[in-house]
Amino acid sequence: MDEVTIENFRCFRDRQTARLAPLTLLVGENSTGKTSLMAMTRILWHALFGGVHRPNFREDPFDLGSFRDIVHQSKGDDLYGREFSGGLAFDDTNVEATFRQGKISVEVCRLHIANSATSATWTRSGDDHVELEVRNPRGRWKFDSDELESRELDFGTKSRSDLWGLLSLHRYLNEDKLTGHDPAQPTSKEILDLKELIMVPYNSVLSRSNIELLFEAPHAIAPVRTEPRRSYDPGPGLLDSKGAGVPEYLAALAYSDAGQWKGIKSGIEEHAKRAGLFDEIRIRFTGDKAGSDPFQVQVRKHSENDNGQWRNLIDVGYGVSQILPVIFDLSRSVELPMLLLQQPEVHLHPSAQAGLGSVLCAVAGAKRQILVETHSDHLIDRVRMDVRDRKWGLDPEKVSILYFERGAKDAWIHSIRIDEDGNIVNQPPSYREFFRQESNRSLGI
Amino acid sequence: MCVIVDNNVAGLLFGDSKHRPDAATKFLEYVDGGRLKLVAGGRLVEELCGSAKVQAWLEERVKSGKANIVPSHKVEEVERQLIQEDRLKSDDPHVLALALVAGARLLYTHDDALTDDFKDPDLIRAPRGKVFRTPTRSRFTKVRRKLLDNANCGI
Repeated sequence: MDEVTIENFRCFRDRQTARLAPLTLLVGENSTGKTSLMAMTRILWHALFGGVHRPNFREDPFDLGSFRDIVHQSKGDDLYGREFSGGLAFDDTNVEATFRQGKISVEVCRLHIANSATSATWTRSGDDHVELEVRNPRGRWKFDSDELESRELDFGTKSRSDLWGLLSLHRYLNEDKLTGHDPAQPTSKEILDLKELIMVPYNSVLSRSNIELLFEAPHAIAPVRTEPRRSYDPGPGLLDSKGAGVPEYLAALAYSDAGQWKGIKSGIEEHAKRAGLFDEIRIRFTGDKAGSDPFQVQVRKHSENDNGQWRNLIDVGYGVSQILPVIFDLSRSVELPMLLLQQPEVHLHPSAQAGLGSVLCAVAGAKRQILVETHSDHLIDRVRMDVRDRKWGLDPEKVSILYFERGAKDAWIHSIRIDEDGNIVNQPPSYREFFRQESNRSLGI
Repeated sequence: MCVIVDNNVAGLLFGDSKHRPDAATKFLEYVDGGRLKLVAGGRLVEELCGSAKVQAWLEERVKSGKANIVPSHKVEEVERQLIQEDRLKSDDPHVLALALVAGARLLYTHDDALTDDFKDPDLIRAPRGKVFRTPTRSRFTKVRRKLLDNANCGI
């Protein structure tokens, strides 16, 4: 994904477009819309690829509430007929979903995909009348509900109202039963163009992940994560946004799949080492029956003289247990096309925050897109320096800084870049204004 | 436009605010307001950061995008050429090298020899360098339009 667009959504009234890169850092004061952007990115994924007609706007960890809480509104606004929208850009192709309050919950009422030449728009009205309109420079063609129903298409009126559903329709465009404003029917070439247009987002996702992961929604990690325990009982290891199931998941791997455990252990240790937190991790079953008796998660940090002492996760700094779910997900991120991390730096010492910046630079790339909401200067500074020094092969273009600014009635997103020397460019005047004022005051300038 | 601050005015700029000339205050406001972009690099960064106060100020401006740091190796390469040519009046080849690499054409200094070098069209050209000297131009605002319209740096 190259861009995400939002309009009339939460604190954003005007249309805002944010540049996404393999590594995107979201910065700004509290309540400026950083989490909202992350939530919309995942919602759009569900709406565009997941065939979800009524996306869950309360899915953990982004509980956006009901339509009234989600649509942008000023005091006294009438919510009747209001809509909000979000879109994603893949190369030169833009896909946009528009949402409204449906009979049951918030639902997709319009899906639009376009490049500079061709567009397709699927619209569902309040009385469930469905229409598909295709445009190109030569003309405009429409399907309506009756046409769709007569063909018994599983689109719009039934389950699939996403891009896949749209793709299933393109082949009918060469038939002569269309109602159109242009008497000429679409040519084979025009139909092929439409098919290729709809395939752009799929191809973009496929280029970064395996086909079985095509419909894998972005995985989110919450800023509040589960507390460590002295011992754990083996369990299913259900991975949620707080990392609650990570110890059980690791224990299950350690017990039953040595090969996979070795791989994930090595990934965790590599990242933890880079952040200066620990050098080794192990699962220690405390009873006779490994796999069913309780276990502990232990880590150790090497010293100059020896390998150090194994210590229970609960006995080391709190930051270690809090970062474990993050580096676990970064270690398996090849399975996750997109990661949404909220304040991964919480509870970490500045040196570890900086180290985490390097970890993110090392992991983000062609096959992994990571959005990070952060308040850490240390993390951002490390990213700037690593880009300058080309430490992980991360070009300046592959990092985006999104600065969120809030006004009295609206919020704005500014896309900031890093140049090849690691300097900040394209920043608005207000960027870090608070910090400059504090610095001047502190220095007596 | 891009501007270089010579270390010999750092005391004036960042010293006690009670004794800071209005023009110096204005200069700092222009940097924070985005009308001037500070560039530093190479040995000049080391010189400026000899003062913890200047270092802290500069670090925040770099984070804010109000100041750019040019990597040392880029500056040092040009600096070596200037030293080899042996035609500078001043002993500040690192400042002139920085100007050439970053495209900065405004210099804040009180050094006479460096001023001559910076204004030398054989050294700094297209466009020529301008020097801002607080004692002789006590009101920075008078010359600002000309300076700001003069050139853009290559950053």
